[in-house]
Amino acid sequence: MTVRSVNVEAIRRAVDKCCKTVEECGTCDKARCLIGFTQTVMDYARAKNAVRIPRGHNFIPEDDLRLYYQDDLLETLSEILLQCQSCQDNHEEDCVINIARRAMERALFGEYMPFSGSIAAYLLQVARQEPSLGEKLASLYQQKKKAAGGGP
Amino acid sequence: MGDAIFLQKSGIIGVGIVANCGVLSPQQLMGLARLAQELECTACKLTTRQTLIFLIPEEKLPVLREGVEGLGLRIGVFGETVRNVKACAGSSELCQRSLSDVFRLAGILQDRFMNRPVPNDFKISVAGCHRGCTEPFCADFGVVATGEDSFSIYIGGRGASRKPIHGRLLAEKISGEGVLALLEHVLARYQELAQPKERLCHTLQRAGWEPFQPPADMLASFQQQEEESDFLQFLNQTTP
Repeated sequence: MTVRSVNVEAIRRAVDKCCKTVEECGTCDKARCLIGFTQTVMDYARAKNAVRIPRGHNFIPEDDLRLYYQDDLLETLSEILLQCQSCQDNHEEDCVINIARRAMERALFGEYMPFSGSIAAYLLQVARQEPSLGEKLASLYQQKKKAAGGGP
Repeated sequence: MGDAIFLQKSGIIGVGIVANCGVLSPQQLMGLARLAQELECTACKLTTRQTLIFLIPEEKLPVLREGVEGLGLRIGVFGETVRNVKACAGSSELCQRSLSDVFRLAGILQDRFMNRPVPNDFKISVAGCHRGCTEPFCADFGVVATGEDSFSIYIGGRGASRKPIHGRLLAEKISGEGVLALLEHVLARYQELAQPKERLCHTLQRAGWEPFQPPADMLASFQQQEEESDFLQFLNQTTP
């Protein structure tokens, strides 16, 4: 996978929509905000032409317990999945897509979901653990995939 | 031990030609094409170890040898010797998946170690990432890049035969310099411990893993610290 094969801008735009803005938060501390953190991951990937951030998931601000709009988070997560290369056995925890997905899971589900490199297996797993959100996520992902010309 | 020259059923010979990890310049490719025509080469075969076999009449060998050397290439080696290095084209310019400049490292390994006498075949494979296109687990000495100037080393693999064996992890987070030093170490142990014509995987089975373990201080001197990342700095810069 390369930065060129990932639409970093598309993910960044989707994440931007989840931002509560300074007006609501009072201040903007991206290191302590799941949305700001994910924006920074995307900015880093673009600025450094990097697809890996060594130990990047260790920096996910797990103490951010704010409630974000579910629809925006689902939209972002589906966009992240669209950009994911479904690397199967070659899945890397340090991958920027993986880190962004984990941060969004934290914001949406309050916990991380198992991911083994397969989007299909992931969506099924999410649907088992979170039936309602899982169904919406799968539907959004399939819509995006279809629009991108990538099958059903 | 000798050159990679193989008599064929029809009486012609197959001659292995080695480039820098299988990469040829257009000039070399054109030069080889000219040589192939001049030397009545019946066919050229690409091998699994990134060499090129020229099938030519035996009497043409001296001209081929001279021509190959003139192109900056060399005749391959065969028998109880360290073979040419099989490596991916992972570098700052080529494969985008590569985590380190393995093409350069593999070139150094080939220049330094190829044709060194050993008890039996000794094959080296170098891969720029864990995808391992060059099958480093199936080599006597396999190198896999895990980050910038950081490599994992596997030894004792063997891809062919009725009983293929995967190599076992010897060391990880080793620098390029460390890869060279550990290869010296493994070759020295292999020379000391192997019975005549014994492949490394069998020496490991018979003599055990312990004698091949590099000394702790040697390992530490070449071991990379935790991979540095400027992401945290980048993240903190964004905070007011």
